[in-house]
Amino acid sequence: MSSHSESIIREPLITGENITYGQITDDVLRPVENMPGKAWWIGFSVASLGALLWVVAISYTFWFGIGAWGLNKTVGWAWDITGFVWWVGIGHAGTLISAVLLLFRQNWRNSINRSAEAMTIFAVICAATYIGAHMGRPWMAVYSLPLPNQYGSLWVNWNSPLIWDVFAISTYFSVSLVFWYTGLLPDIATIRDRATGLRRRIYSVLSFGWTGSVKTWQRFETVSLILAGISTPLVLSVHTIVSMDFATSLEPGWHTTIFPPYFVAGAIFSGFAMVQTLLLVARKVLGLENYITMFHIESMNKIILLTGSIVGVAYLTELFIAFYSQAEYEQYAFMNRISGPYWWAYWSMMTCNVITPQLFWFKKIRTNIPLAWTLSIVVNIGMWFERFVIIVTSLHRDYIPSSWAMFYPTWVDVSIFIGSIGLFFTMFLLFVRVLPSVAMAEVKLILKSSSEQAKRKLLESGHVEPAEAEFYINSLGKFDSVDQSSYEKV
Amino acid sequence: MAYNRCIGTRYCANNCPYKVRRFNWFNYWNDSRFDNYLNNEHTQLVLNPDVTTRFRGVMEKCSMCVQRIQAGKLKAKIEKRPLKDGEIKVACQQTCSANAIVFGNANDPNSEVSKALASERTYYVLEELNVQPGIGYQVKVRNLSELEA
Repeated sequence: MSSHSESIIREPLITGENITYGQITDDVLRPVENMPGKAWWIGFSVASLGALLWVVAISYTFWFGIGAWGLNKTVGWAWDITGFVWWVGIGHAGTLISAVLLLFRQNWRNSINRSAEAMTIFAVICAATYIGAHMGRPWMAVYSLPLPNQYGSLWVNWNSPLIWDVFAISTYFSVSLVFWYTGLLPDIATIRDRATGLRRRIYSVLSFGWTGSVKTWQRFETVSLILAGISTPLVLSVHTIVSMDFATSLEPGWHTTIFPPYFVAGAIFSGFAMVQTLLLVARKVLGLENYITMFHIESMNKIILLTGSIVGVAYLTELFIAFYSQAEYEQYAFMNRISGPYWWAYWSMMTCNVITPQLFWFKKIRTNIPLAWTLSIVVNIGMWFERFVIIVTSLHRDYIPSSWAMFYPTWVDVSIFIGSIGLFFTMFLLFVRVLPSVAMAEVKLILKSSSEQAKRKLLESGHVEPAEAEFYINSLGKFDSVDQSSYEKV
Repeated sequence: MAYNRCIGTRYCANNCPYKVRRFNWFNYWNDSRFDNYLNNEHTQLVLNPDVTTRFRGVMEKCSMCVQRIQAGKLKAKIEKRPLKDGEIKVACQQTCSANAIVFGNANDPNSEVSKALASERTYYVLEELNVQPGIGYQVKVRNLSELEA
């Protein structure tokens, strides 16, 4: 038993009675150790059909050329880089949850970090496929790396933000993968210990020979903290560098110093929305309501509200600066966004990102699962429009009016985007099947201090101020996994 | 433009304020869906043998007839003499019936192009962006005094 109890007024992070370490393992590994249910199969069928569409559309593009997309000489990027930035942004929440919240000792992250990190990795994979696909000659992608070569003094251009991007994304992907996998080791070992035959052999190899000795755990804790330390700056740097692809150019609407903080806030905003989209469904389907509780859902909705408001302030600041700068090109770029031919995209962005997330000021909405899920989808849509607005409405009308043009997507553009979502969900659904979607070891860590049953024990011990006890019991009202009436007798 | 090095991100085209860059969206010379002179065995002969056709996925723009510049420089080198002003003519300059295009070494103060650029009529497109283009234009001369009178 831990020597101290957590304050009673903090809401529990694990609900349910008689949750033991063994129970946690059983609950989390249920989808891994059993054949999947109907819901999984339906989801997987739809997702893999989407992934198949992606394969078809990407292959078509590789066979014929980028001309298969709706781009033209004026609009050289559209759905491709919109999709890229969208996916990279989504990834950010995973790193924030796993690294930043670990450093800040936010224990509630323990239930959601595993799936959020998995989401990061799959989102970055989707983003990377866009980077590859958008190249005119993807088979020459190696030229974006500073590799020694025999072409004389041919080197990459370090002045190009696209090179910074190559480093930002590849660093991000590798650090996230290592962090994720390191966190998985004890949990893979748990699966190994319960498995037999070939499964046992596979998980044995995957667990890197985890022994579970004190020394192993000590090293595990150390390396987790170090990796969290390395990942934390990445939360800020990756999307900063992505924003520099735009901010360092001359393009009106791109050339703004507000981009780095605005992109980072937007990334975390969209990332939490995607975590919400995934987990609200996953907790139900996988029966993880006791671990991913209403407290987690509400906390994430608060972060969505905060980051959504930051993004809203950034939008308004952009408009104000365009007006205040008296820079004609800049002013036109923003007038054109608001009232030009793409006005619908701008106003979709404004509605989905700034207006609707403000509904989360209401606790009733924050703790309403169907509404929270719907709003998370709305945020995902809004953030896609944000990148579309930034990229296409800036490019389609810049300095020389004779070059102004419109962008119309082709079936290939649309298929690659829908397909990338299919690819993402295919990977996520496979992950849920073969790896524990909740970090079991980390959840077990807080069972004795922050669970509902630990709090109940504290209540029953009678050493709790009545007012605080009442406050605590009242706070349980929002939990869909707690029977509040069972507290009446306490 | 090092076409061989281009991976086709189109970033340069996006950032070009003049929007003069052109992308090879398809393999125009080897794609049966395009019926153009590049695909025809005979009409193909009009293609300049000094320049390769660019592959799909590569960005390009006016190279200022780099093949002519190279040829002119080599000729001068073989003859062991400096390049003379006006010795190299770009294709558009050579064919321009109005003689509106001047090409040469802007670093040589005595070249025809330097004199033209020094004219008070010279302006640069989007000069305010300070991207310092190599190409200047000259304003049309209008007889304003007659209008004022």
